[in-house]
Amino acid sequence: MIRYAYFPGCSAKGSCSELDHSIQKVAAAFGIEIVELKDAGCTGAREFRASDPELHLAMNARILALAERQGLDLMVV
Amino acid sequence: MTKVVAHPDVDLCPGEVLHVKVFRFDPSRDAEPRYESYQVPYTPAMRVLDVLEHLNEELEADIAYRWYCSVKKCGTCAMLVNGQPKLACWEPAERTMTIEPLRNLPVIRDLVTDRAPYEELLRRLDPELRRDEPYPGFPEPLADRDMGDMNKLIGCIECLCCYSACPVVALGDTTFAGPAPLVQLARFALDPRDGRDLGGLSLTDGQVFQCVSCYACEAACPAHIPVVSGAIEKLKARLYHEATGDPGVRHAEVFLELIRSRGRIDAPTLVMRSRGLSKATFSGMETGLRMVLRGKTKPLRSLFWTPAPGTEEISKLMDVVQKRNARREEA
Repeated sequence: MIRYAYFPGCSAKGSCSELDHSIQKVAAAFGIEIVELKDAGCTGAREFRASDPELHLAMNARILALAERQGLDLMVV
Repeated sequence: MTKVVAHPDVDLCPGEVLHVKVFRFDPSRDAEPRYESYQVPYTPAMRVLDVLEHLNEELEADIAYRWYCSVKKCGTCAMLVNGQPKLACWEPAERTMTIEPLRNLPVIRDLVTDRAPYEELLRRLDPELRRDEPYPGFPEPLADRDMGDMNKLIGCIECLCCYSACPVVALGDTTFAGPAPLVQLARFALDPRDGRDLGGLSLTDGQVFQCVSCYACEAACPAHIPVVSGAIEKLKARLYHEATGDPGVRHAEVFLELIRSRGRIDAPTLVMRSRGLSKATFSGMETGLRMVLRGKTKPLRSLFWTPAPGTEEISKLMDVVQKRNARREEA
């Protein structure tokens, strides 16, 4: 079975939870095991990107590092 | 540098028939727009512009379209090709094509759109270099470093592909100036020689915070202008320092506070805290209520929140980066 680290993001965990629900079903249908990065938090989105590009990079490097720690490729929704 | 990309239809053979549907509408005569279908024989290296020329010259189709330079410089031949804003002079012909006028602009006839809404915005945004110091003479001492992001915006050919692709402009009832006008404004707002407060203008007349950063404009731009990252976000970044108290700036501040304390964004809290008890909050109540009814927001979870896993680590990381930034600013 293929395994991927899964980063859901704020929308998939909040106002757009259908993203989260559908990815669980789609992954199962394709036989992909997804390992949710529960500690990942937020990317900082456009707000950080405009106000503090370095913070934006650091936040996202952290998310990539969380996936790397598990030795998995990352899937972002 | 021009990038040569293999096109899905490069396997077209000379003489092969292309099936072309063209939007036809003359508001002075027609009650409704219609689509007419044509067949065009493919010729080597045929572009959308060549297809239109064939239709008018050989089939007397009398289609109205605008073009001038035919080499991606003048920006007049933008239109929708299979739903995407493209320059007719730069787009290879495809086996089946639907050609329509740009979105978000009134149609004058067929594929010709009225650029007046854009030109009206330009008049208000006044994108022209206005110095506060006298011209030092030629050659002007200008370092590439000082021009920064402004350099990336000079190549805009004002074709309005971005304006046509923008979903916020498409809403119709917004005061958002849209991508192309903001690129023109940013050219001078980011120019160190310009002496005006153009950041303020990007807020009042540009309504730059209405941009949702979806990047549809950057994807559509045939001149590869970094519309969001090089213009709109740079204007926003300036406002974060200059326009404290504005709801758009407040939104960014609350965003930061929420990530620091909760690790994730909570949409209702973000909206309520950035807008406060304002008219905008009350006018957004209906949307908020609809979101609650559809389960898209959970008010109880917003009120009785707990930090998301990892919040402590995120908050520490934010401290480290922000302290470093502060030290650098001091130095």
